[in-house]
Amino acid sequence: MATVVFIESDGTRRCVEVAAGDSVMNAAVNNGVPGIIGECGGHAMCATCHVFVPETAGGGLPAMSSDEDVMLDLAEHERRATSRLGCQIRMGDDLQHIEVEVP
Amino acid sequence: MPPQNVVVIGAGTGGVESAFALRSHGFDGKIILLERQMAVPYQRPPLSKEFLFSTDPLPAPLRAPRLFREHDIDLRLGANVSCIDRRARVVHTDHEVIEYDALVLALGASPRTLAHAQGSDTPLHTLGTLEGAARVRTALDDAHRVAIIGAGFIGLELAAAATELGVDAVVVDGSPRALARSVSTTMAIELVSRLEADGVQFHFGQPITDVTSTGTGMRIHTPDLTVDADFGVLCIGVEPAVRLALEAGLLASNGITVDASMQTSDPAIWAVGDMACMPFEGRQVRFESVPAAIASAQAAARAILGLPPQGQFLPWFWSVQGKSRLQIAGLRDPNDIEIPVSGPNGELAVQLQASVSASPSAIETLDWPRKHVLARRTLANRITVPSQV
Repeated sequence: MATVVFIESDGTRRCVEVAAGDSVMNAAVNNGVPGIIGECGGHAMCATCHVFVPETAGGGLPAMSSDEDVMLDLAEHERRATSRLGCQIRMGDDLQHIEVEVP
Repeated sequence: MPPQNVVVIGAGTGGVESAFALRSHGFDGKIILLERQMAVPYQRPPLSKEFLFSTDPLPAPLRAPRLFREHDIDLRLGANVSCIDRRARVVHTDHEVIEYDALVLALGASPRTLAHAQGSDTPLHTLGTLEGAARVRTALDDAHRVAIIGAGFIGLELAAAATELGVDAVVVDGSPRALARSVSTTMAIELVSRLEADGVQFHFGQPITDVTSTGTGMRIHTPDLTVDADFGVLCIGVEPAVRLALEAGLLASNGITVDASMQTSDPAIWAVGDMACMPFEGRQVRFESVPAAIASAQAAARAILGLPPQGQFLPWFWSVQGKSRLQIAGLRDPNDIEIPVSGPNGELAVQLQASVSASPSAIETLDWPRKHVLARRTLANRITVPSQV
């Protein structure tokens, strides 16, 4: 089982278990992490799963596609250098653990 | 006097979002969420896409089941509502009578069926529910060929999925082209030609005259041809599930008529999602989209709690057909003219607008997310989209 730690804007930390193949967005929606919706079901069409991934988060992060890059410009919260779409980060063998900040 | 007891009928996107929106806006009264199906509330868009490729019994859930308990939302599966008694402010299910101060109707819309094919043993399915989609998924496993009746979004997504699974797809539609209700001719032609390049066959201008069983499968009859296939799927649109509402005396025309706050002709009843016909830019519109379901649920929750409305809804929509990613910002008027726009890498967008000098009502983009993002901003600000990106 992989794990994701969500750090909410008020500092609350929440660690959740994620099945291999599920995304950070799935983990958030399944665990009721506030502020992360998955309006388009993980197709990189809506940017409602916007998270910040600090550089220290860990290796194994998939490269950002150009679609993801463009959709992040639509996110409700202002984009940062650390912005990613949660639905594009899948947990599994390459990525066992990650910490992300929720806008 | 704020409500203490809210009942929501239907645990699809509209119903689930309504319940959770009430909580997130501070409502601490009772919320009962009634759902006719036994399955844990699930998302529907995957039923014509990734669900067909997976072996999971369910598509992605709308929320993890325990969240209903954690937010004190009394989710009752297998609860079939038989009657709404507006005078007594109760709803009747097969087993009980439930009081409400405020009632949210989120029954959605059901796939249209063909009268003469109903109840027969002809292998003709629909995709609207988990049950239907699971049957289609099983049928795709063994099939060589599927006949798809209707070239709308569901029909095209299914054709793409079938093709990827190695099943021949034949699409038949009485209209002269695909996506006649919802997308420009320019865009529809491009989407169809991509599917044809992958091997999908299309027959337009061929309304169904009969569907018969052939023993090994089924046969579609149209004025000019017959199509044999192992099974068929009806993708001819949906009807809003208004029977209960009509029986209760609510105003309904193309879905339940609501105002900008989703309130129906009864001040204690709201309607959201695919069944609601809401005001939009001077006309009443019934949306069939997840973004509209979510926005309407938020609006209803706020209105129930007496909160002021928040923001203006900008409709948007997406469809994934194989590798083709279509996005639509705004809502076109059927009389709009089409202005195609090409991107620097050959991408396609189509602006729909009342006249050459008018602002776009809607902008369709194909594999061009940057243009879609700009379109959403533009439409939100109501300025003309520049012709060069």
